[in-house]
Amino acid sequence: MISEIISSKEQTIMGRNRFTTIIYLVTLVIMLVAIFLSWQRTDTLERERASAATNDHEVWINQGERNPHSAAHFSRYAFKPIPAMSTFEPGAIDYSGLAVWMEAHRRNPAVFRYAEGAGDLSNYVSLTPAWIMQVILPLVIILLLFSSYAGEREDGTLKQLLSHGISLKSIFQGKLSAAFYVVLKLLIPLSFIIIVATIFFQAGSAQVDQLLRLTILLSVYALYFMIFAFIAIGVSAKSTSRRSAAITLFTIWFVLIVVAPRFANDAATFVVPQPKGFEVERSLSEARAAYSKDDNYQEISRQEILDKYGVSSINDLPINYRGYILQRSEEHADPLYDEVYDDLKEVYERQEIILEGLSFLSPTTALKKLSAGLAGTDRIHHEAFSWEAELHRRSIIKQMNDDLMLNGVDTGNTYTAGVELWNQITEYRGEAPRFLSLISYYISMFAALITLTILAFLFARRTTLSIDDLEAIS
Amino acid sequence: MNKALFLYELLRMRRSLATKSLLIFAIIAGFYSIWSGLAWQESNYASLIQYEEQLQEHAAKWRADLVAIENGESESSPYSARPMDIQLPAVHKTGSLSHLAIGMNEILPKRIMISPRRNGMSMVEPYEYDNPMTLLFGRMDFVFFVTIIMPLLLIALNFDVIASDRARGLYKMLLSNPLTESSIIMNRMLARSGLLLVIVMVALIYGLMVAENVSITAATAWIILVGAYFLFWFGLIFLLVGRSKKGVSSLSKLVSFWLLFVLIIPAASNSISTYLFPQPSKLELLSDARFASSEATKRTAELTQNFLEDHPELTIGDDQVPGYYRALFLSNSVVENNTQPIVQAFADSMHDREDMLDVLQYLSPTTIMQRSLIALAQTDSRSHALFMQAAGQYLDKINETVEDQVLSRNRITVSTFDQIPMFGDIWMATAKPKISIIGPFLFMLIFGLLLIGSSKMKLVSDSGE
Repeated sequence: MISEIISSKEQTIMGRNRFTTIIYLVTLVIMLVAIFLSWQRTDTLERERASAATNDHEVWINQGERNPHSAAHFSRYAFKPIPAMSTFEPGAIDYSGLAVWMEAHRRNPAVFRYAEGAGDLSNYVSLTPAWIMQVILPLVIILLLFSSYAGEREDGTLKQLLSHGISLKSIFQGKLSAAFYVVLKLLIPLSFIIIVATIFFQAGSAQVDQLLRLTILLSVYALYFMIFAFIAIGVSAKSTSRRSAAITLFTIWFVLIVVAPRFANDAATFVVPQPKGFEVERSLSEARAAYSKDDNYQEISRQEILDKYGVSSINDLPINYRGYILQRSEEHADPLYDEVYDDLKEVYERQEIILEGLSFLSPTTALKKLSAGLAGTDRIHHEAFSWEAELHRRSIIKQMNDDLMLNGVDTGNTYTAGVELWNQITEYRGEAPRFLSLISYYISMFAALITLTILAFLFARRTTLSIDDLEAIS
Repeated sequence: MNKALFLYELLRMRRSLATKSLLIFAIIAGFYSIWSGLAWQESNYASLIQYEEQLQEHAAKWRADLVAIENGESESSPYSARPMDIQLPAVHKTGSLSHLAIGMNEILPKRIMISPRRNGMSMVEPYEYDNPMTLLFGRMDFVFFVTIIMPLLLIALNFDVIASDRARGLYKMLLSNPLTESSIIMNRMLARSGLLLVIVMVALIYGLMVAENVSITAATAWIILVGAYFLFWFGLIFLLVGRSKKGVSSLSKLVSFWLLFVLIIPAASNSISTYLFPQPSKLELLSDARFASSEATKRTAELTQNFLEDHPELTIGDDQVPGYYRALFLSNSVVENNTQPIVQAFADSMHDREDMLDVLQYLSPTTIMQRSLIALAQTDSRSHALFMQAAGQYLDKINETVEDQVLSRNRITVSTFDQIPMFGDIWMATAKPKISIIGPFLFMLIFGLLLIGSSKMKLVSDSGE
């Protein structure tokens, strides 16, 4: 009962405070502007993707009569679907390529990164809804809560409360309830805007998965805000004045949100350096050339096909031998390409293990990764797209080689195929993986965030319940 | 009296744990940002040099084959030393101060293989092998330290420069001495901020000294820009602390201004300019290039026929060389011509956006600083666009040199190959845009002085009342 009164008093004071109202309104307006700009960007990217996919299909179908191997070199592009939630959290989508060229003999990385043309300043700050939630809202929470105890202490009302026999626990519960109110008042309208932006602005997504992702995402942000609310209450309870509470909290905000994520990233890339692009290229070239140097494999391939058709000479084969060899060379290269990309993936994972370790020091580091993962805009989702594109590439190239092998028997190298073959190539229809299938990648981030929330709560509880103002009275 | 006040403030700072902690944090963050940038730059340069060496080695081998053929030694294969297989490097090493301002350099392509096999679209080899998550998190270079961290440290050091004395009643006692309100605040702020300015400048000078081949002009430009930016924040804090009765209210206002100038206006300026002048679709460019390539492939015979009709003297050649070489060369020309308008649209859009930011930057000194510093370090989009343009010219030059021989299925001579310049020569000869820092510098200087001046006038008139 007492805690309800305290909570109600806090809410009333906040309601009367013009500063609080202005903060809410400004946050809401900035959020709306960010959502509009972000949605506009997502919409443009999606339209460009759809248009490029259509054009690619047209060019492929209308390429005319051509040798299937020449067509395999020209091949197709796989375009990355833009997740609906990228309106809220573009994450790493701007830093990962949008299209993969699925050509013969090459496993290419995704190219065309949006960030390259997004302006010089985007490297420092980027006005997106997620950025506002990650950076600005914790500051708003601090501004609203830094005086919760320190203000009462400075004004002398804390002693009055205690002298009336009100327990520290009741005061803590009241303040906590007010903090929940602050967080919910921020979260509810913003969540509504995010849900609208995500679900209704883009149809066709897997709605159940989207809703699951959204629910977890909003819960994660609620935890994140609560961490800062607990820290604000705890620091306020420890501080002798509003001034000292404000200094401490702004410093904490600055270190945890502005400095720590960049420092964590510097540490990750220093300990595990980024791979040198041209060295990766060289490894891929070596993988490509490995077949021509592997005499043993060539001999085995030759013998296998001779045995299969029961003939002793290549000239007696009822197939186009070149088509067969082209396919065998692809099969020889594929595991070697996988090795190169697995090595690359290992580097990324080692970098992210460091980021994850350091995220126990800053909730923002954990949240940034988790938020991008839930929105489907992180590296894990990008790699899922790249791998699907690679499987599709292998399927296209095999179809081309098989056609040359089976139908180019008499015509040899002059054999050409036409639109019938081009039509047999299925379109790449990449779909974002379901979040539950990837959840194991994010367990440590959830653990970091939950641990930090519990620690922040315990800090707030301990500092508020050990206030010694009562002793000062007695 | 002023001097005494200044010295007294220094003494107070020595006793304050919070102040000492902030200054130690400034030293660590400042030097760390330079060390972090140096580590990045070293790795970047090493990678580019290795790449150059790799391609130069290839070119030397190619040339040795050509020399052997010219000397009448038997060729190892019909494909040896063919002009289509020339591969020369073009790398963007950026300015020597890129360790202070990494800018766009981390994500834009820096190495290009120039070869007649490539066209303007395909000359950039795949380079997107960085972890997108680490790119998302960003780096802490000196520009980040000076434009984002430094103002907040300045606020933390100064926000209660007078309010705490007001609260404790000491302020009236001070005013009973022959001192004006503005001189009290100014002396205290000078004492508190002076050490931070020294730390920032020492870190910057260290960062300038460890760089190779830095011109005095560039170093001076960095120093005066950082100085003017410092002055702006000093002026703003001077204005606001003098008007706030309570430390908390001054802190809230200053943090709000920091948010506005450092985060919100730069982000909004960038978003608005990108919204008004969006970059043309790269995917559309890709579609155009593929369409052009497909059409050129279909028309290879016709293109070759047309060419040979124009150049009957080039019909004699080596039949062992596949027609694919000729077809690829012609196809590249078609792709180049067909994608020219959209490539131009990219350049126009980037210039429009940058022109708009040239105006919008005056809404926030932070935007001015970030843009000016990365332009000085040549790690901005304009500098990169110039590099791509120079690389394109280099490719055109090589194509012009080899065109007749490729189409007539012949080889070029060693002396012709030796006349092909290195990319470094083309890049040196490329006219670089003049980066004027006079406007940004004067703006921040005048703005800072105006803030200090107006605050002084207000405080003097208040004291008079």
